[in-house]
Amino acid sequence: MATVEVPGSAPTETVRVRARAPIPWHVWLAIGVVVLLAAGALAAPWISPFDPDRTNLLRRLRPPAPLGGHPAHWLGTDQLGRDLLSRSLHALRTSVAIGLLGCIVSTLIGTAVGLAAGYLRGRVDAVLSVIVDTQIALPYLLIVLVGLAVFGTDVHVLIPLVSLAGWESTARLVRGQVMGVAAQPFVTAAEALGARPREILWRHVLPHVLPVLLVQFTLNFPGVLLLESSLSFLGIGVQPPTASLGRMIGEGRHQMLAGWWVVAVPVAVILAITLALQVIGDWLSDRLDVRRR
Amino acid sequence: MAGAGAGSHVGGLAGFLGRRLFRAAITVTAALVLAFAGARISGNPFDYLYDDALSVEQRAELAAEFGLDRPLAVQFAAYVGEIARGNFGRSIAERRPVVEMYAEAVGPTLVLGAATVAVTLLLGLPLGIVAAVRRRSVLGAMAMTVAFVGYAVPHFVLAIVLILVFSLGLGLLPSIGQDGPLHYVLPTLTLALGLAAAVVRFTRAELLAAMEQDHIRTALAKGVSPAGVVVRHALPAAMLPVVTIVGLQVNGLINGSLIVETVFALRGVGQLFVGAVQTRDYPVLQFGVIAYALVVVAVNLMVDVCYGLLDPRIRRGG
Amino acid sequence: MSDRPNALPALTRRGFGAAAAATLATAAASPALAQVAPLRELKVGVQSHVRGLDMQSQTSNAAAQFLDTFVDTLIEVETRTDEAKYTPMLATSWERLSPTVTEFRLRDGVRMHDGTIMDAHDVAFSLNRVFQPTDARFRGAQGRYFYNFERAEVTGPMTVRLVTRKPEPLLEALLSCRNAGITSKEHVEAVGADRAELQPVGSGPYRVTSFNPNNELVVERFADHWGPQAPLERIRFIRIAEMAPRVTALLNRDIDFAVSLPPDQADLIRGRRDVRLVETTWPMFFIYVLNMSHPRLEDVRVRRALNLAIDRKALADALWGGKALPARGHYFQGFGEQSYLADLDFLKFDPAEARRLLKEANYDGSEMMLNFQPTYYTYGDQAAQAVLDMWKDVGINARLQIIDGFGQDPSKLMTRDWSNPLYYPDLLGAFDTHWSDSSWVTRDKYFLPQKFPEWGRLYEIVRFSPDPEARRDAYRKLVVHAETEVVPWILLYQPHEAFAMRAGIEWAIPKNVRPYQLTFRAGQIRATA
Repeated sequence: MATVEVPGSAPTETVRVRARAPIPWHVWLAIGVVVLLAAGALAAPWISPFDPDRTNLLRRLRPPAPLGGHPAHWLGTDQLGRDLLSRSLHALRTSVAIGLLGCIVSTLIGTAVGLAAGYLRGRVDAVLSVIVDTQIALPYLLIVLVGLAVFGTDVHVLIPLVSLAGWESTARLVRGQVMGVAAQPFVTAAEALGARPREILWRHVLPHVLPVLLVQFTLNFPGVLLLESSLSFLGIGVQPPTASLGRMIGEGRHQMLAGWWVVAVPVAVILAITLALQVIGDWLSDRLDVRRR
Repeated sequence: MAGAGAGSHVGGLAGFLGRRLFRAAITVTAALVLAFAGARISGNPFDYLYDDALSVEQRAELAAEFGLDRPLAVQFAAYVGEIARGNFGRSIAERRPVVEMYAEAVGPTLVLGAATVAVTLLLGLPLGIVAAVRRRSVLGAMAMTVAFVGYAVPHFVLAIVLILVFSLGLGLLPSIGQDGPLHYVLPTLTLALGLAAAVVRFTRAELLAAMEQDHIRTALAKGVSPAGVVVRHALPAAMLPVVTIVGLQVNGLINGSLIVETVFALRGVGQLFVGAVQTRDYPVLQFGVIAYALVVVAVNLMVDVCYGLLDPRIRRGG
Repeated sequence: MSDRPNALPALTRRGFGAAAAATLATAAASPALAQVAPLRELKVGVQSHVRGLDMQSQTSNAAAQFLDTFVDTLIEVETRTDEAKYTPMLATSWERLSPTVTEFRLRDGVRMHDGTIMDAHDVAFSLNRVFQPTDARFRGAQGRYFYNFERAEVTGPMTVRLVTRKPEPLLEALLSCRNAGITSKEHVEAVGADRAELQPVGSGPYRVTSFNPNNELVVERFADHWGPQAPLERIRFIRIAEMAPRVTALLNRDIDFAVSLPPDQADLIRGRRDVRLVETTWPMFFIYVLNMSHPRLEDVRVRRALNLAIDRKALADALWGGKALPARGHYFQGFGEQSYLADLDFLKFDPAEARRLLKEANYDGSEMMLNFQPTYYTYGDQAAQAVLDMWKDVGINARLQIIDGFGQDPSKLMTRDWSNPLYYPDLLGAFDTHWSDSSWVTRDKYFLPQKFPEWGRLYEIVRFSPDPEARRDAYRKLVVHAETEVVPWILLYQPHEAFAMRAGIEWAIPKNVRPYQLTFRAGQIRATA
């Protein structure tokens, strides 16, 4: 764990809500995209025109309907004739579920560790720091493989494994923030008044850390989506025929010349999520004046 | 906290270094143990050795040959003892010393890694500056967008697209191999585009924060041009965190380089390690984990030392 | 020369061979071509590479690509005639002293790559490693080819006797396989078996000069080769696992020769003037082994239903551009030795019959798993997903399950994907190397031939009868028996693949050797820079 903070970054001004400016249009757009994608993912089973895993070898590699494909398949079909719209919606559901849950779990672990290490300091900090150091020093791939070997290649196994991918950076971040906040007069005052550590953490420290976490979350989430896709390149990760964004890209990559849309559709979905979250994250961090690290 | 005087600063630095080294040693030891345990929990190398599978007798013969028939405690003692003597064993799949295998593969990986870091900074810093200075402009938004397209496209898609465009389409660059500098251009770009995105973000954020500081506001108020302020005042302050980020991306770099090595047919460490993970080649896997831990720990140490040396006002926690 | 040498897939091997031979002859006679400088280094992009190069321990399709360049065998098989003709190679003559003993007279003065001269000790050493394996790595080759061979005896400096357990009608065929190659005893004993895997020594026209396991192999012309000089100075076999980069590397001239391109990739470069495609539908099946020991697969009607539910033509059309051949039984279409079986077809798509059989077998809707390896065989993952739906269509409650590693507990698996290539030009060239009693499918009890006395009786005739007519007759019955009463497998199709090369290269897919073997010896390739 980096135990080093540049003085300028001491979060004396971590949260300083600026004068309310109107939300710019591109942020609205990003929010719209996220809401739309989230709604699509949630409603996938009801709005998908086709069964996402159903192959139809007679209708393989049809381009998107506007480009002259089969009119029933708006986004075209893949190498096995599966409807790309239906598959993308379900893939979004799978990938977002893995990414979201994984991110939440990793944020919770990271926050807990960071709070404990940063506020309690001393031995607790030393022990937790070693754990964080060790996690960073282990190749992530090994952790995933051991996990899959022991617990099987189920989607439910992937979520905790994915959550292991980011908790240490959250822990680092939170620890640094907590150390800064803990030195603030209002915290020392609360301590002097006899408030218990738990109370101080909950009432005084956490609120200052939350905006940073929020921004960190918008950064981590796309990373997890990409992680899922590189796992499926290696043949681990989400198992066929279940659609995930990573699997769709991995399976479609041989067809990039013959049927570019098979890869382009899931890549576009990942791009849309990532860009939208970046825009929102940047706006949030500017607005909340959060320094990210 | 570091003391105010120069003498206590040096003493503080020595103590700080001592603590860091101690922690590094604990980390490497933990990696050593986890490499051994993780390898054995993840599976059995003989399940992956020959595609006809193996008979019970064959397995027994091979287990005896590689000492895997002994109790785990004995295996572990032998493992630690051999490593202490500098012997990392021989590969089960290739039946040759592990060190020899890594020595063959490390060259291309180092070249690729160094080139990637260089290109990442060359791309990321200017774009980050543009994004910070012109934060509300179209140019700034474009800089961020370009960076994020590189980040959000999976490595293998980016790699294949680059090949299709620069090798197949334009015929400018070789698509595979490692015979000369040109062969490293596309692999480097593939890795650097994603990393540069992170650098852009952090440069922008650090610069924005630095420009909020009083002395810079003062300079701006005095009429110094924003660009001059950035170059002279804000950038130096922002450099450290940015370099840290690059340093800490080793993990991402290694995961990414595996894919890049596969697509571009480079013979590097990534392929070697992932191959070992996939075939549960214990000795190769263990060496990979230990070497990886050493590299990460060393990079972290260097980053810390840089901080310690460059910024004497630093606070040291822990 | 036509870019599309074989418009008719079924005729591939034969039709093309003649055309290519004619071209080579023309090229040799043409003064214009003769003046062009020959290509010095041939760079070959392969899909999969190997981790060791011992000619007797490496039996994979990947190893088969490389072995011919540096490995010689006692007997050679003619690669350009339709009929398999066996000719002297390291043995100048051989004679059956008794039904089970054959004596080989060895060629004098054959220099090996380590500088020693090949003699009877080298031959006995090489072959006995497989005939009487004490090292686990040689068990594979023994089970596939040499289980009937007892020992090799040195009877003189340049004479060796091979003793078989039963009379061996396939003697020449088996001994001409590159897995029966001869290495240098002195070399292996000097460097040890492990090093010898990485620095193999043979006596072929090229010698191994550099080997980076799983990545790159370099062989160079061996000036002291006993036979005609190698046509190329150097060959580099580079692994380019991904298909799109492999195709690009060829178009880009980063490589000269690319192997294993399925039709959809080949189509991308078809018709380009600077590239030549040589295509074939392999004498090889992509198959699923059915685990007959699994309780849910015990009933032959269920196994048969799993077969009939599959629309093989749809698979061949979708995944292989219509160029793969749907299987009809365990025999190869377009392969001479087996063409007399061409009227047999047990694997027609018949969902109604599949449903009827399931009903008759009282199939209760219990889960059927299709276990397979997602990245091992080209398009294997796609085939599995398509088959899954075909099974569901006849009411089977089917699920896909990935196999991680080959050594999984067989009792947990219901199927396993596999390929059955024709290893040598004989009726049994694919059968005996995969379905004999010494194969892993029998050892691990996927296949239970002991339950079928008729199988054993027919097999014995096909395998050991000296009478060709009796063998053919029994083989026909065996094929029928296999698909109707035993049903140990699901044969899918014979895949179709292309080799792509620079336009200046003339090369033909060799006949009578196993699929994927790359032949770059004298007269087999002509390449201009």
